Amino acid sequence: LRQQEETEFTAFVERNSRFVFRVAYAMLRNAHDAEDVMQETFLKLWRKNAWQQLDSERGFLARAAWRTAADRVDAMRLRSREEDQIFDLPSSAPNPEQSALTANWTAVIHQLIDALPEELRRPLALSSVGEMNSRDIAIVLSIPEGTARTRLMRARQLLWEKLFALQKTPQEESRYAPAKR
Amino acid sequence: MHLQSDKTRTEDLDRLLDAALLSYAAPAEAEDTRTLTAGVMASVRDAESHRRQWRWGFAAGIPALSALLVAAVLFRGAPHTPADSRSHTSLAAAVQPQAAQPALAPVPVLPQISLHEESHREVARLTRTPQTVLVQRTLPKLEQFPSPHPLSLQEALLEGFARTSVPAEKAAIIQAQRNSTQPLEIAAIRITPLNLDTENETSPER
Repeated sequence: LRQQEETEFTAFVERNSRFVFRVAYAMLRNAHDAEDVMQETFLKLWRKNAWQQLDSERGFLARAAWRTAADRVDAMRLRSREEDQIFDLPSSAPNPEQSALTANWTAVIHQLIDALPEELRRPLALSSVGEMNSRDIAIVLSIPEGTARTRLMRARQLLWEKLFALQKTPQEESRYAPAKR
Repeated sequence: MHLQSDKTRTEDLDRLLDAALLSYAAPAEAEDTRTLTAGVMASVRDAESHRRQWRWGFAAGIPALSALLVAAVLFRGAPHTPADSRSHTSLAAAVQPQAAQPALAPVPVLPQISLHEESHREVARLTRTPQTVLVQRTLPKLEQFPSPHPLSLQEALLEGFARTSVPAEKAAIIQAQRNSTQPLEIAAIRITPLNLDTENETSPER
């Protein structure tokens, strides 16, 4: 019986591991931490034997992974505060302006998303996981669906404006630059 | 022309934004599904083996602990009796528990009847323990106490002597008995000190 249960659980993990990893990564932005959170999430489900009677696998897993990741972020913040360090250390990666100059627009947008306020970044990050609509996002974040939708729109609008400004600057400069005689 | 280029740029930006959002939660350094699953199952198996170890630990520990507990409860529940008084548990000892003790055996035989009775009462008082009281309650009640019984040979001789002897002889015997109970006096022993000088002179050289 245990062997059969393990086989079923392996299939369950195989179905959902990438999804759970992406949810954790959306919150943590670190592959190693996201993998840890994914393992922890599945381990909790195995221990509680709660994985067999799930109504909505994805919804439940998204909530569980998101909470585990949020707990990890809180623990990291607490630890960094105890060690008198700044949690949001500037990364060694180039800033959006530098990335824009090298035309690495994907990296630019990721950095712009990271720089958004958390209340806007989180719904947007969850929407990037895929298979998650505004209703699912609202459930995971424990906010009304309307609020989730509004935040998603605001985040996208803000991102668009920043990106537009970044793209415009070098082009406009060249467009409106005085012509050489 | 500017409007056309602005529109194209807007569409490009939207496309760029969507593409970047799709890759936001899917890092390039992420492992494939099979590796992720293998990692999860390895941690699950590890946790299971830990749990099994704990189970075995409990399985071995709980009986040992309960045995210790039972032993402790039994040890505490047992009556605390000194080793030399364990014979009280037997019926014979319960009937006459301390009568055979040497402290009570040498009752001096005194000519006065009152003293004799007094000593009997003392013996009865000393030998009255919870066990004897329990046994005495079961015995039938006597019509006369103490029960009349014929004198023993020693008592008859003593009574005859008391009746026929002269007062001077009685006084001499009483005096002799009193003296017998007096503490013995031992003369002081004198030991002459050893003469060490003469001993050293006579001992052979090593």
